[in-house]
Amino acid sequence: MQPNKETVLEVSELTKKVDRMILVDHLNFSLEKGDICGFLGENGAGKTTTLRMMTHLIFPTSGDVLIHGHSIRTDTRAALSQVGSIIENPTFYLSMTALQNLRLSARLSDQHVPESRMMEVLQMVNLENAKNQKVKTFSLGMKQRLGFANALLCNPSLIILDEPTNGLDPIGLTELKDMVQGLSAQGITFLISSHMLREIQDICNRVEIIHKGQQIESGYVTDLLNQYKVSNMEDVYFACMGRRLA
Amino acid sequence: MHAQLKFELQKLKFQSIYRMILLLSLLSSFGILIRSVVAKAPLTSIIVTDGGIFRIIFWFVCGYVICGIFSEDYHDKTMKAVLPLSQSRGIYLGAKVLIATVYCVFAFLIFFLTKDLAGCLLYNDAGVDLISGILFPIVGALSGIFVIVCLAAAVITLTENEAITAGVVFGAIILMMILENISIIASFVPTYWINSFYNSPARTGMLFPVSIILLIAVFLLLLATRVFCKKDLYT
Amino acid sequence: MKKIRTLLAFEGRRMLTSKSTLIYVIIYFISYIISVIFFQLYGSDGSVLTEASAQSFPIQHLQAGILFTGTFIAIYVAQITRQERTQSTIKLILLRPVSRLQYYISKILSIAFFSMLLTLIQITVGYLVGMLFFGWHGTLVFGDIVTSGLTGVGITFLSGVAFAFAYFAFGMLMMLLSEFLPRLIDCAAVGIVILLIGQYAEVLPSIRPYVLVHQMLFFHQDIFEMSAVYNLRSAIVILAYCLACSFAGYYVFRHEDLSV
Repeated sequence: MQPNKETVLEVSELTKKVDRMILVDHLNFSLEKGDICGFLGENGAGKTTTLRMMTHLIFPTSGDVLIHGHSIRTDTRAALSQVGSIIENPTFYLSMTALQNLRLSARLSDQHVPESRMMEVLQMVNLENAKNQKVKTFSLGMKQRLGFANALLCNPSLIILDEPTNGLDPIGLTELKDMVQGLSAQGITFLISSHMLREIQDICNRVEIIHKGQQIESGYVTDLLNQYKVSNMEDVYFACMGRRLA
Repeated sequence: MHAQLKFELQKLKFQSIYRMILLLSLLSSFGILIRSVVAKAPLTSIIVTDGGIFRIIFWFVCGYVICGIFSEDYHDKTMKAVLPLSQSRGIYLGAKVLIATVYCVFAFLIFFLTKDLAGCLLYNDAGVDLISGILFPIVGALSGIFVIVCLAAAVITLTENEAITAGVVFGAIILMMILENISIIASFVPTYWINSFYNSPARTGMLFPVSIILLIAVFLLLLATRVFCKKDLYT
Repeated sequence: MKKIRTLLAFEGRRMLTSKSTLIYVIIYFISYIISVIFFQLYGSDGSVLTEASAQSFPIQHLQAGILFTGTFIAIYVAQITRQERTQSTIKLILLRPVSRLQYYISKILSIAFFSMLLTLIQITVGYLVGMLFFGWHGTLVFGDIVTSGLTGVGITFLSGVAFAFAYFAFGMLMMLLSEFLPRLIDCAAVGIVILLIGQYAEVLPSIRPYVLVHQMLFFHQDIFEMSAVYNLRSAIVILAYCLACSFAGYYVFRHEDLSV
């Protein structure tokens, strides 16, 4: 068990219905400061829908998301001011350079982001040499890294990443893992949606598993491994899914 | 090419807007006929290819269809999925040119032939000259459409921008409609060829200017093809 | 306010540096050259020009550009609304602490600026073409107004402001419609259909003052020729279109799930 810390993210009874389909069904979980939480589920489980609701791109049918106590429904600006995110694939203005896209993003934050911070985040993701290159010439991995740089730009306390390992090579994966763990040690909270269970196990200290919009398991990685008496998250995941399908 | 054409045609079939446009052409034709019959207008006013407001709307609809066909892969970002399936980029572009041209001509034919054939049936003793009354206006429409298709192909290939393509194509159509009001050059304006081809081009000295305009259109198309075949595509 | 300013500055830079704007300048230039040719061939009977003078040229051409200006506004509105969705670049903005209201207001202001920019382009190109072919001599003749010099320039720009106001309302209407149309080209086509059909309202005297297309054609002219009451009514009609379309558009946008 981790020592009790400040609650950064609280999801309570979050539900999304479209026509008669329930995409997310009364989701409940919370994250504490410094947590790196893996958000797992099969394709179509409702992960991206949940993340979209957290970032106010789509509206919950019911329930709420509180970020540092600010409701995403009623106090969106205060809630989002502390969040950096990549939802699905990162998108940028293709005719602008990496640096220009970051400058635009920085201008829209509530705090002043100096040019040095933009260079700093580009260095963190190894894109400082490509800062003046137009985004349309970027590979998928480079766009992904630029997306991560954009998420880090305004010193957020919560970072939401949807499939961040997409397009990253093994070196990029290792760098991402080191960066996430380093930032978590500084108190930044991560919510990472991914299919790469081995990476989730390496990076994350806790997981939330959903299936067809419903939460089926949650907890700290070490606790779950002990509970299921297995040595890796894949087995935990399959055990949960097997239990669920049964 | 055959496979690419089938692919493009299948895409048109799946989109209801293209079926609606053909239906509207048919309905417009009947509308004009009914109006002419009710007004007891003489046959020539039905058969003559002027078409009035239809001609204006037709060219804007053509602009819409042509821009839509050329820009859809840029809009939907499906270029990277479709292009590898084509035999070559030239064939990809050629198929788009062909489909856009044929569709617009087909829409025109639906209107034109329905109007004229139905008109002939209603006025039993009327005769229609197949060459100057039917064939030449169709050739006029085909040539005019081809010019606009080549312009759209050139713009979308060079700019890869849907907004610029729409601006240039619609702007060109509006400019041409303004130019039609200058009587000495009206016959040479592509949007007016439906009417001016009604009188054999050779007789009215149109052959040379029309050929020049068509050559320019072909040049634009070849330029578009050359650029497209060599261009790095980041879409 | 800072974020609205940022978004506005971004849109403004894009507006001024985009190839689309250059294309519009070229198209206006060509159309004005054609108008000069018309005047040379047919005189004032066959042309919108009544006076062969650079002073009259821009103001007398404002009305004639309805199809061009309306189409360009429809395309621009679709670019900043529809295209941002399809390219998902709206995410880049809305994932920051920018409210949907701030985003929407920035779009409204962008459309207003674009409308003014297009008007300025028309007036500038009009003066340029007029100077090239007719020179500055003579007077400004516009309806019952006959004047010259700086007064004429002032009247031209005042007419331009009224013109831009009416086209801004059209832009707001297109912004509402773009919420329901899937592609940029659909927005452009619907805009053209509205412009073509709207002109038929001229045959119905009782409703035409309330039709937006009528105001787009005549408001910039009526402010000099009609009574203050008439012009006030016209301004209220245009404002009503602006407000109704912006509120309705914002209502739709505010409640829209953005699956981008």
